[in-house]
Amino acid sequence: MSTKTSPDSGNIKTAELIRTQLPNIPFEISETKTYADLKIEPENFLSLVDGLNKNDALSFDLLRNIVAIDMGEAGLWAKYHFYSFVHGHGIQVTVPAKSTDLTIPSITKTYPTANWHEREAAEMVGLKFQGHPDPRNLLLEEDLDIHPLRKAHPLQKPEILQGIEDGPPGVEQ
Amino acid sequence: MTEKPNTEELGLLSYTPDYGNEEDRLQPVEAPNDQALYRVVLPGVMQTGVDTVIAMCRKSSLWPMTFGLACCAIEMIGTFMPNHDLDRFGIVPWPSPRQSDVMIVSGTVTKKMAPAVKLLYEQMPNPKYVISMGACATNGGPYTEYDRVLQGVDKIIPVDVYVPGCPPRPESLMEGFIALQEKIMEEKKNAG
Amino acid sequence: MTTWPESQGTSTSLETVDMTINVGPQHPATHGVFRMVLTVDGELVKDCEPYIGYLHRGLEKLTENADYRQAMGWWDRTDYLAGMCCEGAYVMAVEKLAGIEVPERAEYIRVLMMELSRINSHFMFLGAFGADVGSFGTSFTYGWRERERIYDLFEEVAGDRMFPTYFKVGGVTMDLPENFETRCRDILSSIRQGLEDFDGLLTGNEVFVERCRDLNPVTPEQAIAWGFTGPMLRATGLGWDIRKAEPYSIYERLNFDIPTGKQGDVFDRYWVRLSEMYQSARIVEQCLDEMPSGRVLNPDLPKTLRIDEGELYLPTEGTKGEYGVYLMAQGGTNAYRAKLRSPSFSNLSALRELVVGNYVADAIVILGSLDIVLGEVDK
Repeated sequence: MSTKTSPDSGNIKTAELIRTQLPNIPFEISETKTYADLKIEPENFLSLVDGLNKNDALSFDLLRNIVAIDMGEAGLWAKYHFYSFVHGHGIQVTVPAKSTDLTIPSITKTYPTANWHEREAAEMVGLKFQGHPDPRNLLLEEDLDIHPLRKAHPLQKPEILQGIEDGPPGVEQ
Repeated sequence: MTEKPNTEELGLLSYTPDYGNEEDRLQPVEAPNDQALYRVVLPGVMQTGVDTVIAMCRKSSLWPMTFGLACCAIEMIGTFMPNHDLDRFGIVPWPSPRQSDVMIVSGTVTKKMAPAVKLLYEQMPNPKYVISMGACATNGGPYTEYDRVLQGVDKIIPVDVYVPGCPPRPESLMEGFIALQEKIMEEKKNAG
Repeated sequence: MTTWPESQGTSTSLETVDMTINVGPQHPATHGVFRMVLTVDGELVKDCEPYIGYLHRGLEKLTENADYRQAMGWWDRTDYLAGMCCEGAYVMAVEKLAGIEVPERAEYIRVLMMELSRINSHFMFLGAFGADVGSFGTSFTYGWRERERIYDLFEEVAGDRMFPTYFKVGGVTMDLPENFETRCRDILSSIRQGLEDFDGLLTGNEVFVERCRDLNPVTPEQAIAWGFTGPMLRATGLGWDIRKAEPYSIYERLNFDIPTGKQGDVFDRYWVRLSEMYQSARIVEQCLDEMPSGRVLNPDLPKTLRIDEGELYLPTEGTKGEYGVYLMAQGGTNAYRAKLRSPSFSNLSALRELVVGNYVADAIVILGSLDIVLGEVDK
């Protein structure tokens, strides 16, 4: 029997602590299967990040991860994961990109490690990060302008037999 | 609370990828077609004996260029190590393409890496051989459906021996080298 | 541009221009297809620009288009030096998302296999790092002697050397063979002997210590700002290990220490990895001693695995740092979004700050001490 298959209520306490320490920033709290999630608008995102980093009771000093998701009708979202070495708590922040021009403010000034994470998120899904110092393609070629992780991006067909266009004999194509 | 973005105007649903002029970068190389000097100079009856001797020398001292791309490179290194020793066949890994005979393409070739593979192949002097090691170099392997992956290295360079496996065991790679040696002996008059 | 000083005895001054060197995607150090462009002034590196993406194989897109259980075949090829560590991380994330329980014997077997994979990966680091610093063939052959023994054990247990897909959602595929315990204890004693050999070969070598000590020290604040985790962070002095800080599986019941360094230089990074291997051997022995009996697979697994709405981010201690799996499910048999948080990606993003100001030969040593594996970096 494994020890940690139930969601931890300790994570909701972290979200409530953030609510009491930063009362003027509007966000919604929800649960995931591991960390708690704060959903916030892009306009307020930079002040939340500043608060998470500089507040002594929170002091989230490690940016672990940035995930960019194509949510279809709901637009493009980005999820951030932070961790604090001092207090040992973690949090997830969800930011839907601005609906007019698909931008999210960049956090490279507070967290230098966000540089490569934001470059990768931008090229995979098509987000734009405002204020990023070096917005080039990272994993794809520099001159390409495609976004592979969009749901509309197609996959290749695997080749069945090389050089034989109509497949193996006896099989309907 | 967020207003839904205008997906049509922003092109979120009708996205079509634009690959630019990528096709030019992925054209195959010309296969080498020249003849060695001794075949031009010597009379016909002496060519056969010299062919056999030269082919025997070539097959006994193949120097592969270490071109490890991905996971198959780890098994390739394991084949060079004392447990499955390839040195006893005369095979010495050599990092420079200008002084090597064989290129072992071990791992997935992506479209970003393809121009480098072509350049390295062109930098090798004749006669040169290519062993395509693993499933990814044969036809894209487990990653064949992603469109940044080249479906097999034989789309850009000519391949002599295919070694299947994911990754192939060191014994499989040794079998691939032995098959290449047999191929060199069979084709001795075409080896140029 | 620098000018040759007049005091050196020439009547004309010598103007030099910075040279650009391309350490291309194919190079003899076995770190994989990685390219960096160094701008050097003589031997001193002025600027370094890393280029990655030559092995971008589409792990995340392919995982969205396949079943949860099929996707494991791609995930264990990310960190190809320690396949089972990656399998463990992914399979634990899927189980947590779906709420599937794992029997206890399977947990012990998983931790045993993961720690043996960690030892495997670190032997490859020792071999390749020794080759970077100067002992080209010797350290490689020392490392591979032990790796082959561990690979033989994996083959006996699971069927394949590198990527056995031995872990399954709900347990492991099959039980251990009968002579496993004697075989494993033999291998542990030979691993310890191999570690002593490496200690004598590298740490006891004055040239190695002179080259590596005091090269490129990093403070804990810098490391956290750059996103370092794993042995790179522990070398700076901060003893943070996810197996102790946010434990998963049965790590809470096991006794092991976390080695840390003092100043985060290249020697400390090597020393932390070497000491970690002794601790991993301790964990393997404890797993062998305490292994319970029972079944190895959850008996109530559904035939098709469908997961309703949910998301999670699960951090695990991979061999190079924090190997995190983010999964989002929205019904159906496929994940809606899967992301790999790879430790080598974050460690490598700080390469420019690490390398600038050192000599070219030291730049190669620093790159080797980062211990990157390109399958993770390029996903």
